[in-house]
Amino acid sequence: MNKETLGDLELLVLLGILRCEGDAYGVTITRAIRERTGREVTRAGVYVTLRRLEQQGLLGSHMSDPLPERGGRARRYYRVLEPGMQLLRRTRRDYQSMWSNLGLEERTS
Amino acid sequence: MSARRRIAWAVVRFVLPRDMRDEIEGDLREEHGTRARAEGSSSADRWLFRAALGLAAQMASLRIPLVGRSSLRVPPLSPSRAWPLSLTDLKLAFRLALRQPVLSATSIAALSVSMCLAIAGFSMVDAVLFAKLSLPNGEDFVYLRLTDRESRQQRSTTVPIFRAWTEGGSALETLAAFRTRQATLLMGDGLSRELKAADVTVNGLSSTGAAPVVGRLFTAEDAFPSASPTMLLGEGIWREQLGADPEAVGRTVRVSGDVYTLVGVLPADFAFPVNQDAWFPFDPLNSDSMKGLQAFGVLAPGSDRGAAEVELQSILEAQRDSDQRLAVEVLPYTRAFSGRGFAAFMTVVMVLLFALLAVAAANVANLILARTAARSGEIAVRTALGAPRASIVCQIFVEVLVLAAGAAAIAVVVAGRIVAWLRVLIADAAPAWIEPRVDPGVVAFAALLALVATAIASLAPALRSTRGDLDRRLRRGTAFTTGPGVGRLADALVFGQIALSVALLAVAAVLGRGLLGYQAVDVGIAEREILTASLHLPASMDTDDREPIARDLVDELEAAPRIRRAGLTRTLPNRDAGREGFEVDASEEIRRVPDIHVAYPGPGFFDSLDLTPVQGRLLRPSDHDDQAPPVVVVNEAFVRAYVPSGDPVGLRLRSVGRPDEDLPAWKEIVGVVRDLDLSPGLPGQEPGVYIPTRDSNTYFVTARFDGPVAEAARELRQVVAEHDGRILVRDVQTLDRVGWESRTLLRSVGTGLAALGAMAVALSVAGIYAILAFSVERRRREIGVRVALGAGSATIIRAIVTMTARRLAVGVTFGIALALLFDRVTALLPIDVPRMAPVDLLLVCGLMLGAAVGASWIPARRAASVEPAEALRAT
Repeated sequence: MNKETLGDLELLVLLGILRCEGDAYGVTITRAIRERTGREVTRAGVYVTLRRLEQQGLLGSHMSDPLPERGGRARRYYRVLEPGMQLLRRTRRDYQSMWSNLGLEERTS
Repeated sequence: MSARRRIAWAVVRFVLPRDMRDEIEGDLREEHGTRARAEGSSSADRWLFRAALGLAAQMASLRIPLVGRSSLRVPPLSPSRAWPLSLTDLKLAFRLALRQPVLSATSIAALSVSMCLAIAGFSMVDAVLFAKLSLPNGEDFVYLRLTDRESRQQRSTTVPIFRAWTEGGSALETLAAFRTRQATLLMGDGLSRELKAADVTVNGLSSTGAAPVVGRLFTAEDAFPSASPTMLLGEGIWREQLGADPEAVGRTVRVSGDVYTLVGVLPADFAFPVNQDAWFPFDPLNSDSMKGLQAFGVLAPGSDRGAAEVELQSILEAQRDSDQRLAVEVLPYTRAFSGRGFAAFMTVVMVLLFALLAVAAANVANLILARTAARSGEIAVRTALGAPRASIVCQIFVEVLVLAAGAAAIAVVVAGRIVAWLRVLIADAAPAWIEPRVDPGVVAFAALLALVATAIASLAPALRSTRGDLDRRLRRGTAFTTGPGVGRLADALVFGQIALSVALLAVAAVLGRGLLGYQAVDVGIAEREILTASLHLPASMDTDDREPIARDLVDELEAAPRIRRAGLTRTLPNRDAGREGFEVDASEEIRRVPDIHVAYPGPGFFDSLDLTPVQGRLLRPSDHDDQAPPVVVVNEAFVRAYVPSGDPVGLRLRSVGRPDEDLPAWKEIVGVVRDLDLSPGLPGQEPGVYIPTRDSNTYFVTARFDGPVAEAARELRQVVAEHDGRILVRDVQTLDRVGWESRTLLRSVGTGLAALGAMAVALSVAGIYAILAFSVERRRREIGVRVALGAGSATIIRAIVTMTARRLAVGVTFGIALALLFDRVTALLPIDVPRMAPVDLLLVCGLMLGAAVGASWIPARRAASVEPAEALRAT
């Protein structure tokens, strides 16, 4: 599928994966979004978005070894693939173009 | 592992697709572990529980089905795929309800009436069956019920049994007793106030943890026979009658002719043991009379009711001369006062009320079916545009839910009024802890009813309207409304309504007949010409003062100008008489008879009622003397049941006796009196024995009088007061008014049940009318064609009525089967319910048939008046 735009949660999830720098799985991605934006994203929404982006070819994933602290279950680590990176860059360009010269920069008191 | 954690993992495993389960469950376990180390496992468990429930809700809101899928197929994010219960759906549902005011009002009315009754019934059930004692350790309070295993009659606890339990038991931390009685507080200005009094053991009252508002509780010394009489009053009486004067504590008050020292005042909300407002101390082991003794206790720590029951039963059986027929049950305290009969009766009533709700919901379902059928074209187009079946079904569900929610809101408000009225009605007689009200639990029940009614009314029409080949549905459009599928579902709904209505009406009629049977049976006495009154002798009155009352008072009453004949008794006609077991010496054998009614007439009783003997003689004044030979009179029902020869005069009988008594002497049967209804409400007359009373603390006067009742009543009071001013006279009324309140209540319930059945019939008739009217309207073109081809009015009408009769026949058949099944089930319950007779079913079927034919008349006439030209022109 040729995806041309990213939804709000999709954007946050992709950026969250990049923030986690190789340690990106459900827990850390959700935490990164919460810590950077202060938004409480729903757990199910994050996982469903990860699945969808993977099905759309924007993400890849691999399973770790089973871990005792997870009851013997493996982690699923995510990474952004090239099509995902391209879409991210296009999205950033588009937003910057829309935001520029509007005088809406964050005020620092 | 805590329960929360277990539940949380179960939810997680249930809601997640298989291919995501390991990943997400692993992440949750990892987070849980981190939180447990940082905040403790309780906090972590609480977080996990919330996270699991949140996950389930989120998965559902993302329209990901929670059941039966192995992998996640994620739908693209789309605003149009909103959760079914979105604001838009609700707005559309409200708008539709307002656009169709007649359908909405009809549906809301039908549902709210049936829901209102079900809610009121449930609040009674909730108040009675799930009531708790409002005491600090209320759940440990138990009631000890003695039952005769053969006759299944309850027996009062006796002194030897109570003593044996007190000395030998360990499963109960406290073993106590009480007996309730009426008493009258006499004020100085001649006014009096009725008290709901109880004699209670000292340990029984202190085990409740009650703290007096003023003064103190009883001490052990207060219960000594030689102690100065003391009492406690409730705060309400203290405020109302004694002006809330703290100095009243320590002063004396007059109660029922005796003088007591008021030692304390108990809080207004304290009414233990039942619904008391006055308490007197007593010690059963030092009391003269043990009538009406009721034992209760508090479970010892670590003990339970089962263990207590086993222990008390073994103590009972180990007693010397114990009655092996007796069995003890250890019941939760509040349960002992509701009775198995009440639970069974309320179960029957609740089933009837649910059936009524089902009839109402089926009615609404028919209306919704008609509405969705009219929208079938729209529904087909929406399906073609991609709307999943589930979302259309959900939308119809929401449309009906709006109506049901409105009905539930109205029902809760009206039920609140009904329940408030019931609360006032039963306040005097019911235990204090029974306070029916519409509380959050009852409101939750109302919400559940709304959901159930919505499901019944919406799912079948919704599923029907979204079924079938889409092409055909698009091509047929509104023509689909006349399709066979819609007709079959409509028929099924009408069958169901008729079946339930027939069953409901039959059962309600039989139950109502049973309750209405609690009318006073005409026993051939001119009840309006007999004045009655209850006389209460003070407990302090000794035997020397009491004995002459029975002898002299009758003569003094008959000397009054307006009183022709007078008598005394301990049991009035048309009032339930107690039961005892007897042996009959029929010369060849001594025969044990099951427990039968026993009445204790005093001097002049039979004469005052103008009764003559059927055989032998009736009791004479001399039969009541202490030294008189022991004699009895029996009634006709006794002769029919136990004297095959038909002549009981000369036979002997004696009471089987109680474990603490020597076997009573044989008494000779000297005569037979006609049946005087010793067990009002039960069909037929029951065997009874009349034993002359010699000495009692309470009597009823029966006085045949002339002239105005008020004058005769005044004379009666005057004679009694002149005989002994300590005797309390109450409830002066004519014999026909005795038991009037309870009969009125029962009559009201019986009338209510009959109204229930009538309501069911009315709803069914409305349903038949609605579906016929709809059918005629939809088949207008077809009818027009028939008329154009030569069919006359009679033919059209016959066709409509035949259609109705067919539906009726099937529905009535099922209804009769349901009614008979119900009859079999109620026969197994511990309540006396008349059995269904063939004539009951015939009457019900006839009523239903007549009503249905009436309901089909207007649509039939309308069909017959269809103008062919107009019908054929209409699209």
